[in-house]
Amino acid sequence: MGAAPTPERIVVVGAGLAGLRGAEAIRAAGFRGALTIVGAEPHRPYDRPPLSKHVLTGQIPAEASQLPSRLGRDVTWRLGVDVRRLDREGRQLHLSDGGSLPYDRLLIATGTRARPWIHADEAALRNVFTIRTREDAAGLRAALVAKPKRVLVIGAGFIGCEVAAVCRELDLPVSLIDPSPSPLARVLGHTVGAYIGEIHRGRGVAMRFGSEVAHLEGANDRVTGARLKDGEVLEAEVVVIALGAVRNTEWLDGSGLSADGGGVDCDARGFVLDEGLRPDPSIAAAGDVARFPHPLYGGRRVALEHWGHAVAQADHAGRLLAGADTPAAYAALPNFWSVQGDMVVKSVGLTDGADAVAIVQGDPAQRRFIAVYGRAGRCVAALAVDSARWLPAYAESVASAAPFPPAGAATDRPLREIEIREPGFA
Amino acid sequence: MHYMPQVGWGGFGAPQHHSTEPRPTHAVCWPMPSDRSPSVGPLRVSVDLNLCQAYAQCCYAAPRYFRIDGHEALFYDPAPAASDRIEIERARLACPVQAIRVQEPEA
Repeated sequence: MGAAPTPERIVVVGAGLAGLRGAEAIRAAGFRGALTIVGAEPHRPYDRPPLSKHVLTGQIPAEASQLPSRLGRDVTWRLGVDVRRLDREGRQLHLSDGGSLPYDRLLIATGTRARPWIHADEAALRNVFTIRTREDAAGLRAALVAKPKRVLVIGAGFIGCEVAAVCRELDLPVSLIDPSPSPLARVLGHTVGAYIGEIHRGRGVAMRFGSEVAHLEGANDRVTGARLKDGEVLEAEVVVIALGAVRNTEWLDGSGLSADGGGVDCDARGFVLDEGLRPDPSIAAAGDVARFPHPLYGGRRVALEHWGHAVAQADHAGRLLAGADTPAAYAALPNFWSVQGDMVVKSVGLTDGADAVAIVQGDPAQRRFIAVYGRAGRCVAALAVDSARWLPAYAESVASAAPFPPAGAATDRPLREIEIREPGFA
Repeated sequence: MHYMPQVGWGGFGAPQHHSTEPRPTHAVCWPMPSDRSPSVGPLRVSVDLNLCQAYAQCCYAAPRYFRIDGHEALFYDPAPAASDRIEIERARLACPVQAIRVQEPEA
């Protein structure tokens, strides 16, 4: 380990999945000193994936998803408290309640928040929602129970697609609008995005692609619809803003760390970097907020908003701070899932920069398939739609950067019959 | 754990009588907070859905709390009643990919 002797006080900033798993790793690695977890929300760590799925369908209440914890009573929780400022020289945090909190080691796990609608006055209209917190989901659920005549979902990323699918499950008319040519196009490309779009269209989601909302419209403080950039007005009684997330790094302003809206920079081991790009061996970061060089992708710096990544990187960072052995570079294979209605989309690897895609198994027309993405003749990512059991075979091709298209994986057709296509990234 | 799950099967061969129970509809059968014991909090359950491959063994072991929708979409109740801990523990043990995590209620 670096500078400090055996730490006596470790503070975890952020009480989400990464904060919880990081704290567990710190204890599991043998740290017996004072451990404090600071969280902006007034709740114990809870799982967010159900908020855009089964909480909205009403199958579980919003407050049900508190995460199982392996922490004991030897943890101090400071919940409902924001960290306002990090003083690295004084090794302390300044809190929103006016107090300060000293640390020897610090884990940054402040995550993200929902990107708000661009016009704050319109975002404040009743029945305009983002989804990030338990309260957000409870509010949207209540609005859906009231049987709105139409729901408009702005943004066709994973959250937007999940919400649109929930609306159809509830038999509510829903429109999904995005400037892209198809849903998930930014992450999966238009070729695969179009297949997924067809599935949603088949389930009755009204697709408005290549369209952009200019303004939300309201009457009596309640949203009534959206005006598109071409002047068309779409009526809606509920509007869901699903425009992605913003990383919570403002509290690091003035700390001397290299951080911006894209995350706080880390070295390969997981220590944060200062503005001179020197690692601070007393501070690590994990989860959505951590931007780190991924060895599998040529050391390109990435910040991943994935559940599995939060778990794996928090475990790594917790061990690192506690002084346990860790690999020289955090290199877990990125993976995620999304449940859209009863369709499961799972992925391994990163599609960024992919120059080719091939359907290697199944058939998009049957709504079950596996797509593999290639870059410069190597496998960089694989995507499974309702075919999760075959994904691990392709994960190996991605993890080992095997030749594209993959010959040795679980493909159900001769290699010569695999059609290689443009992935269709904008 | 201070109890032992009922023995007799290890998870990969779920007993058939479990699967003959009617498929639960959540509106009727799901234990909602009002049903949960007021003196003891619920269990806390999470499933690593990256690991989950829809083998559905949890659905046989604890059919009131786990269900597969469509081909492979797992629905689970993250806050089962503490009185059903044996059922939940069976589901945890039955998972071929060990994706289920359970915490006992906090005293």
